[in-house]
Amino acid sequence: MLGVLKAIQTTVKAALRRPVTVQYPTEKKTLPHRSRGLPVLLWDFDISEPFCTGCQVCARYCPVDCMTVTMKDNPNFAAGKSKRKKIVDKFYIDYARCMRCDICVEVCNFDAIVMNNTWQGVELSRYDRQDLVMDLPALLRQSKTGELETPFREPMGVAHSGWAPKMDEEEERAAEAASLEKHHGTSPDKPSAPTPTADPTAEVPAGSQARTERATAEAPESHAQAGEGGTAPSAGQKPAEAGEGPEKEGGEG
Amino acid sequence: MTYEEVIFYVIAVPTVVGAIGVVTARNVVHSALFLILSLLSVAGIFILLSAEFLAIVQVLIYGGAVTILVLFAMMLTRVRDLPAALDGPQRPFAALAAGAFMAVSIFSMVSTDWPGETDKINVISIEQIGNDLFTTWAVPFEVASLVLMVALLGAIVLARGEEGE
Amino acid sequence: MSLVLISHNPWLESLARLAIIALLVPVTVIILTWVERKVIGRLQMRLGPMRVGPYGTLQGVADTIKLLTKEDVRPQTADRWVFELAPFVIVVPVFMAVVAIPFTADLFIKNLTLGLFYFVAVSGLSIVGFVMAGWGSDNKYALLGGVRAAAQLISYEIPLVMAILAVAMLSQSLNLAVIVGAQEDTPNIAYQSLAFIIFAIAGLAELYRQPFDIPVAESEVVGGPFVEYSGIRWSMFQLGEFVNLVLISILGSLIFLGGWQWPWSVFDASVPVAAQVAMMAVKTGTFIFFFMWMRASLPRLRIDQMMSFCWQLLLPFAFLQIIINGLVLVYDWPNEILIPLSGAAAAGAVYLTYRAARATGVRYQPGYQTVGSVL
Repeated sequence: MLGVLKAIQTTVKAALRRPVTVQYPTEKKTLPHRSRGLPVLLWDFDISEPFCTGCQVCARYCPVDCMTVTMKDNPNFAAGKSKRKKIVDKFYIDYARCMRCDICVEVCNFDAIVMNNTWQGVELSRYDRQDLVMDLPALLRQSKTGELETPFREPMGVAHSGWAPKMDEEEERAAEAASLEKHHGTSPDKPSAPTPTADPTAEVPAGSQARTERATAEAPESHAQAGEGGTAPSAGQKPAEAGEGPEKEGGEG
Repeated sequence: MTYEEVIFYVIAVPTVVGAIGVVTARNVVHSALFLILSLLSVAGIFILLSAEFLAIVQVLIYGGAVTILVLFAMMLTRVRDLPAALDGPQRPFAALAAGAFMAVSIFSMVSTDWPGETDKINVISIEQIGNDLFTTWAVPFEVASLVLMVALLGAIVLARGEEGE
Repeated sequence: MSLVLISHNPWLESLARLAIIALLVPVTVIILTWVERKVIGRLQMRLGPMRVGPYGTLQGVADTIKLLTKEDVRPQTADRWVFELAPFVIVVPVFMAVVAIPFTADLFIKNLTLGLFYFVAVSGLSIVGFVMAGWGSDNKYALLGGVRAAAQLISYEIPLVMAILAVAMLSQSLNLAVIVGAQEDTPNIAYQSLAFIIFAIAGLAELYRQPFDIPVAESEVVGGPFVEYSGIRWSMFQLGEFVNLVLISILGSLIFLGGWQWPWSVFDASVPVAAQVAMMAVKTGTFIFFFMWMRASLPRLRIDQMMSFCWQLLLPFAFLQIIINGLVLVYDWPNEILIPLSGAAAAGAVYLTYRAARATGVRYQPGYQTVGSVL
């Protein structure tokens, strides 16, 4: 009985408040900074090239095999403009398969891939399923045009994801230095050692190739290029990675 | 034909069709629905005779309440078994009784000396009906309500008895 | 008194009037469906329809077109004629009731001497339609819904009629225009507050809207009698429901809120037509809003709660109101004495409901039903 009055009061209160509904396509709510849409690649504005080196680590860690990546020699490196010896050649992500697990972002060594935190990463309606397979320009467009203003990323993986004890700035820098030191010391001797920060690509190239090919089978139109590209870089991948890793870190240090 | 006659036949056709439907329909629910049609058409005839109060009572009681209860009872029982149950060895006796009743009705209709011309129908106001019902006819009225009350109590006793078991 | 529309020929005139309701009523219903969705949306912090037309105003039109062009499906095992006629049996009585309801002193189809009685009798006929729809669909949910509808509508019709009767006793007439005319100074809601409360609740139940949507409960009987209907036949049920909503609202404003007379008539005996229309629109709108508000606020009653509330609370109190009125009329007491008497009875009814709700809330046992368990 009193519940009736309470219910009436509730509806009146609700009526006096502003409706929570927004007129979606014309009016959009701001998404939370950490919202996790679909993965997109980042554009390095300093050099005008993607951050991505095509190292395929994301493709190999992807649980649903939705990515296909190939690598090429970087023309900007030859011209002396860039420090990246290799650069991404072709990059396909099948958005229909992606399950937004964020693993590709966590494993990326170059902070080249982020989860889209704009509405573009949410709106998926297409007339054809093939249209959901994004190529490199499509993946870079958001970053290039500046629509993806401040992408959220977790550079060090779990350490920054909230459940690990948080380090202050000093400790963080020290830990990073220690990690670099360790890596710098070990990498020339054992280039294939799977250290978490530097060289996950160096596991088994044959496996990588198989995975890449399996992933490409999903996107037939990209199969030919990915097939030839996937074989060629993986042969030269190990030395390239081994040479590149220390060089990059040296630059940072 | 005057307007009244046209309207009378327009109303009389569904009345008769409904009445025939009640007895001929094989489905008992259909019978009940035909009954509603027939009773409502009778209400139409009452209106034609300027007996508005009676017509509305007819609609309210027969159209709205009684037939609903009939329908209710039939829907909640096994309607499909009913035709078989109704079709028994008593059939010739039923036919005899119905035929006898019809003969008596027709005989009385034919033998009655109907006044050929009626006066102008005098509309009886509802106040007058109310006054008559509660003064001159108060005892029959109360007896009728008592009968209904007994029926109601009986139904409650029956229903509660089943519930208690 | 009444306006002549086209001709003094009674046949042409009545045809024209019927044509006007046949056009006006569906349009009102189309508007009301939009209004209802908007109102309930706002009561739940939503916007309601916004896409079709400015602020979604054409939503009702779009829905109508959709419903009219949809396929009219009939289940193979349904009882053909019963199934197909059921929507008409629901809609026709509702339209017949429209005839007897005046909107203002001049705007009506036909002012009957027994208008109130006629309205009650005719609107009771719709129940046959529910039973037909429920039985004819050959669907267990539909049958359950039909039986529920019959049980609920018949039960609540009695307190509704008793509440209306109380007003009729006070006005000494069943003519709606006379009843309105008797409320020049004070509307009946003051004299008959108990009857008004009973009328509002029983009216809500007669409309089988939430919280009394037991016959059509989606989560229990998946739409009840309407479960097998689609397209135009389904929309006829909807039409009947909304016309009934309007009718009950107009009736409530006529017999309890003073119709087109009060409060204007307190200052000036002759009320201009525009003021009549405006006052009726406001009063009817208040009723409609009340019904929509209840729909947005309250959850559905359980079926045994619904039944015992009607028979154990509303009906005795409706009789109490009639007895009070009878005493006042027989002993020629002034009408003003009804204000405290009816008010006290209404307070008593509210208190009893409160106590019963509290008691059943604490120690309700399934299957435990005695007379007075709600009281």
